[in-house]
Amino acid sequence: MSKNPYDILGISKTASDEQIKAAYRKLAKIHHPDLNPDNKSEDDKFKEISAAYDLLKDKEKRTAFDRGEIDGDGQPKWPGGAQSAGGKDRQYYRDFAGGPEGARYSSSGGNINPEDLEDILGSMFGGRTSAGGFEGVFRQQQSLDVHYRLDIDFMDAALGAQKQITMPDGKNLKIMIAEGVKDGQKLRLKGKGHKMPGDLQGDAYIEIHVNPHKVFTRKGRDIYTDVPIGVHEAILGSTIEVDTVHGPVKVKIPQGTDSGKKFRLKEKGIKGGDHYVSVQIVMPDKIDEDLKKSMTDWVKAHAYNPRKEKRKKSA
Amino acid sequence: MRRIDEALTEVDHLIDQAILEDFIARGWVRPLRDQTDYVFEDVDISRIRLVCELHIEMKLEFDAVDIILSLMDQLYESRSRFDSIMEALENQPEDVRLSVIKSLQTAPPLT
Repeated sequence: MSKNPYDILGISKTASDEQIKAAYRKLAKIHHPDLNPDNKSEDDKFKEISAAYDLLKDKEKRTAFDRGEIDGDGQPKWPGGAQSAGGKDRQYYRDFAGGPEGARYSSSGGNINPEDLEDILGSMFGGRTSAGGFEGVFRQQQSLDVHYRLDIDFMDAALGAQKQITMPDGKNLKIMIAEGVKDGQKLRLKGKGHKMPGDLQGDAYIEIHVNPHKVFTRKGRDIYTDVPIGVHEAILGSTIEVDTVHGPVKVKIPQGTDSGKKFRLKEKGIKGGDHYVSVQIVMPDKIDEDLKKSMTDWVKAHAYNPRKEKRKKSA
Repeated sequence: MRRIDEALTEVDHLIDQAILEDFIARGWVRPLRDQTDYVFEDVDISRIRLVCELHIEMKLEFDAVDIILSLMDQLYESRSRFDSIMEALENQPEDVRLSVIKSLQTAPPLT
């Protein structure tokens, strides 16, 4: 059982505050999870080190521990590895670094997309091709980059638009939003970042956030909507008008259409994608005598029970 | 989406606003911006914590933090590139994958 904070930091019980700090720093440099992206076991080790340091750097807690009032053995009073410098369930930088959020911190500033393949291969087989210059300049370049967030409407993202943003220096910048731009996509505006003497110029990165739409749901290039139809339309068939991102479109509902049936409107989605309409049968607001009578007459003449039909089918 | 004061609360006020602005000016933390001010996402919060640990807790000098973050960012980017190449390879037909494996086996070992 070596949950003793002194053992964890590798110091004696008489260690001074300076020695505790030094021991912690030395271990933290080795075991910090962000400095060990491939080694998941460093997580626990670092938590343990941080917890030990948290206890020992606090004079009151240290005295209490030395007196045996609290223990370092995972008891509630000192929850061993459960506590870390950052508090509960900490997320490390490395948890984001590989994902889309981390792209802002990558040296190229953007996501890897297929168009960058040339760049990827270029940097693998000898020298970076895009950002130019040696790494010293390159690093400085990063801090010259500026990152913006731009919220745009669903329809602007679907069909493309021109937007204007105001830079910190008060200048306005026109941005072309391409048709079909995705939520989270980044645009790079070369040379629109900070400027420094000596031809150093950063880039501006604009992260697009697409606001959701009340009616349209987007999956890639396809659009999904639910459209209500009346009982009569479901039974007798009808031609209804459905809104798409390209405007209203007529859809033929065949006789006997079930609730939930999907219709595909070819190329009425985004950038050549399709629009899928799912119909939902809705009852009239009021069931009046006419409707009741016609239904009663129909049921009398036809022994129809959908649950029996279902049982027959699954048998 | 957090503003600068909320970001400072989230990192338990390990630093004050002036220091955070200094981190941003150095490019150590790169929050997004909207029309009015900085906007901090989860990745930025974890980045602030990391910078605090390197610079404040571990007492690394400015230049050392610069070098570490630069190397770290390059490392994470290489990993992400490696992942996208692996993913592209996984989507290749069997014979393409085999020929890649073969050329890796015949390549001189890394020394």
